[in-house]
Amino acid sequence: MYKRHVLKELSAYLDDQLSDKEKLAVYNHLSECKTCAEELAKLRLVSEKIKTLPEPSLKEDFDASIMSEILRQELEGGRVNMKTRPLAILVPSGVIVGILFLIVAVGMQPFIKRSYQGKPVSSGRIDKYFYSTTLNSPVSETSYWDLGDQKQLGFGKSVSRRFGGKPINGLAVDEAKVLALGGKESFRAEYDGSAFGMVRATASTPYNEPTGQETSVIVIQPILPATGQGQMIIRIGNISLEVENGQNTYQQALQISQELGGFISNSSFYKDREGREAGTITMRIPKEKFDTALDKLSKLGKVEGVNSTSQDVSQEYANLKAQLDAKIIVYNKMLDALKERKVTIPEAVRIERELAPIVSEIETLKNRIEYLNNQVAFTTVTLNFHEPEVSAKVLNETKRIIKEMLLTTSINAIKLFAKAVPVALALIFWLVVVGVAVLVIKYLFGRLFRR
Amino acid sequence: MQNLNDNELMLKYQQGEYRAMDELLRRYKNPVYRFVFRLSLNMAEAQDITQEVFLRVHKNRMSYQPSGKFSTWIFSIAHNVFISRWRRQRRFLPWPTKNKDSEELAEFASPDPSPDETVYTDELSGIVRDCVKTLPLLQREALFLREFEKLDYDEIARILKKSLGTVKTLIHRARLNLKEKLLPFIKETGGCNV
Repeated sequence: MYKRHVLKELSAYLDDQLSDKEKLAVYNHLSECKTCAEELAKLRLVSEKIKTLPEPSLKEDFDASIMSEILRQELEGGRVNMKTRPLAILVPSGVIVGILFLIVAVGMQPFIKRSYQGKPVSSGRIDKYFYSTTLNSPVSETSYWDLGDQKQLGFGKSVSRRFGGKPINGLAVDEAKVLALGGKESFRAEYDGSAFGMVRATASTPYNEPTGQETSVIVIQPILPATGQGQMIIRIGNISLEVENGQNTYQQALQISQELGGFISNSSFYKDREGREAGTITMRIPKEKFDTALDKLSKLGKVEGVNSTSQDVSQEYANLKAQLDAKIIVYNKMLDALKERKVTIPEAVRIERELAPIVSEIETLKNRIEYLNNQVAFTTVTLNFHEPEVSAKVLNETKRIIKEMLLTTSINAIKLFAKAVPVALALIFWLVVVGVAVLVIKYLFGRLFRR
Repeated sequence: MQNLNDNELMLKYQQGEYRAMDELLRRYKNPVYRFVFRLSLNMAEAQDITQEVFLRVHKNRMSYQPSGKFSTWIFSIAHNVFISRWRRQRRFLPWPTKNKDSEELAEFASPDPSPDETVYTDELSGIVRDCVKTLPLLQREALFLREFEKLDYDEIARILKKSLGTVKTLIHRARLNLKEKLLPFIKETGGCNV
């Protein structure tokens, strides 16, 4: 038994952290010491009251967040062991793959439904062609398909086979564009070979129920190839270059124009205040050499911009030709009537009066046709060129001046050094003389004073 | 898994049996969380620390030696994480430090109860919390590990990296300090029968 108080041991006694011997000693002491017993009671009370502190719990999703974080770390470290939790990893992965598959399948649905489902209603001569499909997407959308190269939809593929790749009325149909779509969820397209490449489609109920309840009309217009042969297309090209030497560029451009069988329609050449050369050359190049011209010209300097525009004047050309033909027919008939004297004198006077404007119109039409022929046959290429802001010539001149300055400075330095050498030698000589004299004097004085 | 003890679960986990972590989480997430919460008095911070503790368990699983007790190991991790965070953030967070700091912080505290304080459902637990807040950090840790986790003194010594004698003293002083501060309140509320 402890004779002294056991206050320091009370906590350990309370927590049952003493050895058996110590515990017994404290126990015996407590039975006789009121102070220590009271102290133990207080400590026990404190211990009880501490336990009134709340015991909050974590949320339910804590485990999931920990496990997902662990999995993320493992994935980043590339240490996922698939064998350990195959279901936990494979099941979510399978679900994700399934969802992705569904999304892709649903996304492809419109395309699948738009594939060729139609049947030709007439064989032999290609007059009409029917096509039915279902559109899930908004009907006002713009769709494209190839009729020529069979590479997009089954729709185009079938049409191409039936057309045999031949042009319709002299117009090669390579691509068709839907300009407007009517109807709600389905449409029926009709191809009319007799139309000048025009394709008509009508919105109606699906083809399977050809009730003819047409609601609106779709006009599908062929997009003519930009460089289609047999077309009347005016091509204009512009090219801007930054060149090292303006004069050389000017000469080279003229040479290119001549080589390609073209000619210069307009040109200008000038120098600015800083002496930089620039110019503009407008040349007419045969249509088949248009791309070659742009290619060759672009190699004359650093290309700053190239643009090429095409204007299809086929329709206008055809109209002009038709008007001209009509006018010529009228003119010939009037002339024949006059020649064969089939009309009365007043009528002949009227016809002669009317012939003058017809002749004028014929000439105007001819001129316009000739102009279009000329514009189509010879494309217009405009070349703009200028020397850079810091011209190479100016740069070379500056370099030359700097070199000269450096050379002059070097020569002057050598000259100065050459002049300084004799002076330095003389100075050294006199310093030696004076030094020797000082030493001699010092020696003589030393001997004199010693005596 | 539920039949395995902590060490067996850790061995399974070392072998890549991830379900062992589920069981360890079930057993220790709340004790660790409460231990940290009582120290920090901040629920969000306590949750963050608990998460970090388990991530460290995962990260250091291969270095775990089954010779000791798992509870000692995980609480020593919790102690380390808490101390490192506390050192890093004590300038910014109103975590209890020394008595002086706590009193200073109390002066700036909002009169309205914070969400973290709503867990103190009765007056006594609030008083106990206020008294506990004034204890030095090591005393609090030692006391909580003993009172709530029922750890032996030598385990607490290993967790806190102190000698057995020091732990004994820490716990005793903690109780004495609390007795001085708590008993007057207990007498006022009539809860003391000493």
